[in-house]
Amino acid sequence: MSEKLIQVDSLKVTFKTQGGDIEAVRGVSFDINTSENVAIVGESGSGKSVTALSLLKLHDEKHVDYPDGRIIYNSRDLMLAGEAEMRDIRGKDISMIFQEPMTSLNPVYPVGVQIQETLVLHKKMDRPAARKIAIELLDRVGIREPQQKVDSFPHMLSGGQRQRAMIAMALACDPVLLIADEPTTALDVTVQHQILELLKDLQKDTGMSVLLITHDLHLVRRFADRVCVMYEGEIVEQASSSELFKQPRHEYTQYLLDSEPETRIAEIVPTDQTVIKADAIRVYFPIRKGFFKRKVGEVKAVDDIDIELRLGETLGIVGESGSGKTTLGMALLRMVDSTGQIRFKEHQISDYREKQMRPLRRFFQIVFQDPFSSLSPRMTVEQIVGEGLKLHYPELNKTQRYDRIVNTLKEVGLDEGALWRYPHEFSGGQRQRIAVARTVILEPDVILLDEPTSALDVSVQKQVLGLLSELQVKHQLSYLFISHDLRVVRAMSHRVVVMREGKIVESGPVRQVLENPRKQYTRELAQASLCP
Amino acid sequence: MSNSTNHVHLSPGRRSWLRFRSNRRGYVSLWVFSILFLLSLFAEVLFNDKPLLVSYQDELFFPFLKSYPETAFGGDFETEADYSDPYVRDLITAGDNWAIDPLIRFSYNTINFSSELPNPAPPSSHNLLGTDDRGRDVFARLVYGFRLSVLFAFALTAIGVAIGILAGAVQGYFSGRLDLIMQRIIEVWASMPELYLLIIFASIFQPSIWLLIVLLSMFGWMGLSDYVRAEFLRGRNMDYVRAARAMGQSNMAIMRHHLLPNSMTPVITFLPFRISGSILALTSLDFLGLGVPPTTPSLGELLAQGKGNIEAWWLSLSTFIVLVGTLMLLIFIGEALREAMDTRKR
Repeated sequence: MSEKLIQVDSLKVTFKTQGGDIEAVRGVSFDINTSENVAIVGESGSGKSVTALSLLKLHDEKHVDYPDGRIIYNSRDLMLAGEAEMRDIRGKDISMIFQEPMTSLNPVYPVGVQIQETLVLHKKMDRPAARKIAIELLDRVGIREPQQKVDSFPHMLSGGQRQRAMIAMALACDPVLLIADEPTTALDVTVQHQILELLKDLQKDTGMSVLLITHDLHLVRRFADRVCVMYEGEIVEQASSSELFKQPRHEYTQYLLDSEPETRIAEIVPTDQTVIKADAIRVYFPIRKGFFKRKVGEVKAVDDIDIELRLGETLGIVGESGSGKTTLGMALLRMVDSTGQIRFKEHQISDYREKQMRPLRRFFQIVFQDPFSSLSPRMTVEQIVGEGLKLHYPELNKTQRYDRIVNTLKEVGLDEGALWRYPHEFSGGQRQRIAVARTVILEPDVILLDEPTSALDVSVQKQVLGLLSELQVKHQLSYLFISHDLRVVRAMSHRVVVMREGKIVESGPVRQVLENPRKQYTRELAQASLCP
Repeated sequence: MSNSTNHVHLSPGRRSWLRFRSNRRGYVSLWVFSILFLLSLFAEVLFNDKPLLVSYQDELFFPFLKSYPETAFGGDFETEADYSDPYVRDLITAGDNWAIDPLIRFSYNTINFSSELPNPAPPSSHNLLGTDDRGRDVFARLVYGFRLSVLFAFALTAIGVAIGILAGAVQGYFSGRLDLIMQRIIEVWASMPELYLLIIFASIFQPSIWLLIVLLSMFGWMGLSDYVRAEFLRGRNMDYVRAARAMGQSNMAIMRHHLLPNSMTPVITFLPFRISGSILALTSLDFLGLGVPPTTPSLGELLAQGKGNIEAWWLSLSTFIVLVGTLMLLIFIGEALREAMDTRKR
């Protein structure tokens, strides 16, 4: 850890827009030494990805300007380098992996061909030799049966395998620096863990440096030697990893460290009054094949689950993607067809038809994960929040309705001025507040929270969780809290259900399940996401 | 978000209007087109061979609304008075009698018998844009033809869009088997030769504007329904639709309030092209002689005459200008409309 590999000196990046220039990065300086892991941490919009892309000058020159700064690599200033020179560096000396492995791999080529591409380009290899190397690389990144997998298309691989293939691609030319832009954000917790381990191992073997871009402080603690914290286009703090976590100096770093979801379990004693009780819930999706769409099998998304939700209680449902947790939630609210018995208070809703369900729909509402797709972009906030009122409280006149909308908006922390605006004019956190307002205005009994904070920055996540538990106490709401993030679930739930492949692995009070797990799977999950 | 506070209290409709106005070209086009269209709606008052008001022996007559026999003005015939006849003209303007005439004293069917030159006659002080090969005033025919074309286009577009949205929405929202069946029906229907049908029907029935609307509407909706179907298919899985279902909204309400506004992009984008396409369809059918009956004023018929009398430049040139001008105005308006409907644009 001595030699400076790359030096970034007061880098500035501006975006040219119609409304004037926007300064995305305002004078950022940092170094990366050889064989060092550096992390840039920041929330969305802090300029961390822009900085990373600038190292390779991957921005579209029509939209981006570099008014100031130098990037010294190999005693050359990359800022002055021409496009041809940059092409020579990209992929060969410095390579990059991206967040979404599905979209960063080309779906029409086998992964092997995509790995060979850089080899053919930079090392002037012929195809058969490159193929051999590609198989070796896939083996090195821990993909089993690399001989077969080299010919697989991206969609045939799992998310973790895809990210491994991406890494293999990035490693093809033995780069001296690997830029990893949120490499694990789209992956399940246990897989995240594995990918980081892999990166660390590879780094040890090859002696390359890694620049990790992330919003997740925990990732950094485990991984990086040095951390730069970015806020609004500036590096506010730069320190070695151990130092930073022990003694954060800048208040923003402290704020980020504090925004860990704190325990918010509402202090009401959950009564024994049951709101939803479900027995033997099954949701099977048929797999059909051939011309006549013969049923050849079934996907057991939810397989014989008994569940009970009490008044004023938060029931956490955790599991990795594909475990059936969202399907279970949707089945309980009769949003997907299922077999089995579901009781809501005195209604046997599993026997109700869609028409009979409609008047009851007011009592169970949903808040979705992605606040960008859950609000209709062509409706104003007033229309969005007021829609359910018109439907379920037709007796209200215009002013009463208006007052109620304004009151609810205030309750979720938005002001009256929001009424006339469209969803796209709000930030992610505000949008999620609107989505919450849309549900609580109907005075429901149950709210299904489907990953309500996963798409949000940590600090915003904390605020939204706070709002949710406040509302829970105030209105005696029961929450079905679906999440893959055990930290959030631990902070919010009274009881928790761990799901895997459509079945319940373990359930019980949150402390007992997460701190003293009885099952191996729960233990792995807890270890991957709870231990720093 | 700070710069959006200045239109905090504007209603959604008002904001759309502001967005529309921000496109100067579209805004000006809308004004020009509206004025022209409005004037053409009153073509009977502006272009007519009958006076608007006649005072004959202290009695008021409204010849452009009502038909009076020549005898009413002291003439000889029991038939309707021909006001361009110098004899009748003398009768209604002699002594205390007076008549108020329209701006141009030709209707689309008036034949100028007093023309000094053989027909088609070039522009003169009598016929500002000349006459066609039957001695009818080109200016009057253009104005009436413009009106007919625009009304026809509006009607055809409205019907096509309505059926297209309905069919596309039903297919996209319910999808599955219903979608499959309708899709096959559409494929069969779309492969029918439209032009042959028109020729066949034109020989069975009396050709008229209504027949054309019915026939063209039967085939005009299919292009659009595909796009609307795709938008609905995409939209039905969005979270906001699921949220509306969770709220207990009925299928109809979800389709109308949630999916439709979000599926309007293809409808709005194609709207100007559909309107101009309809105008062109009518014009070309008339040009081929498959359209409206020959007495009806139409741009296509004028173009056909221009082709037949290639030396009569006033026929083809003036029709060409009217046609191109109309199409351009409509396209510009459509462009601004598209921007106005985009709520994401400031």
